[in-house]
Amino acid sequence: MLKVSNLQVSFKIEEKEIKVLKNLSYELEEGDILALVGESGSGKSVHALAICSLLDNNAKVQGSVKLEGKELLNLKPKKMRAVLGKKIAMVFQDPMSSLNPVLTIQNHLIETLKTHFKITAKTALKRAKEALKAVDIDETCLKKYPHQLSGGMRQRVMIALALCTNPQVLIADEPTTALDVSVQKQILDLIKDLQKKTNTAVLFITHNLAIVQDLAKRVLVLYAGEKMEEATKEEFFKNPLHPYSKALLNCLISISEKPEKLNAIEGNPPQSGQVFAGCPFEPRCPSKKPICANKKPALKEVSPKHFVACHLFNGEQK
Amino acid sequence: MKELVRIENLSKTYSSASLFGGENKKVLNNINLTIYEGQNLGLLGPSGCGKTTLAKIILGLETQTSGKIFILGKDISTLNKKEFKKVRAQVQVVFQDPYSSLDPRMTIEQSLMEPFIIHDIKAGEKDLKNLISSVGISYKDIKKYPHEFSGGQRQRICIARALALKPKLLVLDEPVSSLDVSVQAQILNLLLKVKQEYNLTLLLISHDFAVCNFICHNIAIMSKGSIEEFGAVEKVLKNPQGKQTKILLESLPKLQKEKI
Repeated sequence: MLKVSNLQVSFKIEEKEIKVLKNLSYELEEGDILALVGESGSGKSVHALAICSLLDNNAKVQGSVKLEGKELLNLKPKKMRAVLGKKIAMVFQDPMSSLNPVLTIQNHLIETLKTHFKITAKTALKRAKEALKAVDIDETCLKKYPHQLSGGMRQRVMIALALCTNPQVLIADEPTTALDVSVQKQILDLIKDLQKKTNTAVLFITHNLAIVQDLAKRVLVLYAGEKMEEATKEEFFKNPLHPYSKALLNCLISISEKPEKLNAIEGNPPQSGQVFAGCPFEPRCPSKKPICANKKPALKEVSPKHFVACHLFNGEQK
Repeated sequence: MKELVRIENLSKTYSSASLFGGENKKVLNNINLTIYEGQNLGLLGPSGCGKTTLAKIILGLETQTSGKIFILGKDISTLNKKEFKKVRAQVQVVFQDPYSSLDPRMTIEQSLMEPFIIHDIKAGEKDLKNLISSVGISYKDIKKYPHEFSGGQRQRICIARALALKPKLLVLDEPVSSLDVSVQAQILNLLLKVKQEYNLTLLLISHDFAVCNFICHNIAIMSKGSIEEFGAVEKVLKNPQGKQTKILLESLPKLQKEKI
């Protein structure tokens, strides 16, 4: 359904070209939930904005993004607007700043519905009520303004807004990072539930592997704008191959044990635009080899649908 | 065990005055809590439950509406400015966001010198060298500005600044929640290391049970301005009593409940 191939994004800052996303390819099918995992600066949010053509003019986007076989990257703004919100919907991290403070919830929903469908005000209102009901919010909230709702409620409204047009693809960019654990669980359950009902394809962007395990069907790990590993969820958690994936799983903290020291990954995440001749994780990698600093590992399918970019699995040197 | 901080019947009400009357909002309701020396305490609760307000009152950044706070045995509301400053040197803080808590126009050296200047203490190169190396930052980076560091490094610098006066209590307000996953574990390890080295007691504010479990001896779970449950971490985890405690524990993703 959504096919991204060789997507590259670079920014021009003070005459310098900074590459933030390098050759990202993946496919998203109907009913799929793909978790895009990465740290800050890994290019995960930029990639979502690139798909929606929401990046600033100083960004250069190359490659191809196809929705149902139709190329999105060269669409005119007017045509793109018909796609955004209707076929591809997005939920952002911060529900406080994603809603218009001077519009009621009803205004938000009806505006979206009337933009994309030729319907009467009456039908729009009816559908707005249904949309709120689907996210477990009382009808009386229709007349309320965003500031009268809590963070969790606002994120529900965002989800109602995103899903009221029955989009084929839902992009959720860290939708629970600004919320606390109990609200986080409600929102994740809601996304899971609605996804099952509507069979929407979900692209879930996060840095939290614990959430991925709860929600996703497939996992894609990004580091410094490059794909490190891609696998089904079961395979990823049972048999993670890339040293970065392993290290990330290793530093999860759980309440079932109280170690004296946590397994940390040494060093710091690379800054966006940093150039690596070899593997970007090499400086922090516990199992690096001489070749890692000089040569980029190719992405290799080690077992069906399990891809990894690491010299340890390239077959050249074991 | 020696008492470090004792809080008695503490309440805090914010009132918003407006043309049409305004309203009172009670954010802390009759809090009683004691922090003992060496016993790290975790303050846990959902957003809006008052945990940050409580910390701000302990730091003297807010004043309570009623109730008393004793720090090192002294009732801080009876102290004059000079006496309070002396007590305040023993209680330092690290905030959540290391991006906004360092002055962008000050070098790291200047930021680290601030506490010494404020409290009229002479400090030389050797002090700074010890300080900065105890948090794992190289001394040669001391003339750099905050923007030249990553989030994790900035949090290390904030920790160094908080340690400068060798305080007894370090208040940590969500110290890792704005950091990358791969860096969080580093900072948590560092906190336990400096606790040993500087003989500190930590007051950790968090909404993450797993982080509290790693750092703390005792936890207090707050709900709507009151303390709902208090006890040793292991006990509370094994046999949670309060409603809020149960909700927080049940909401944890599976991977944080059990290790794979």
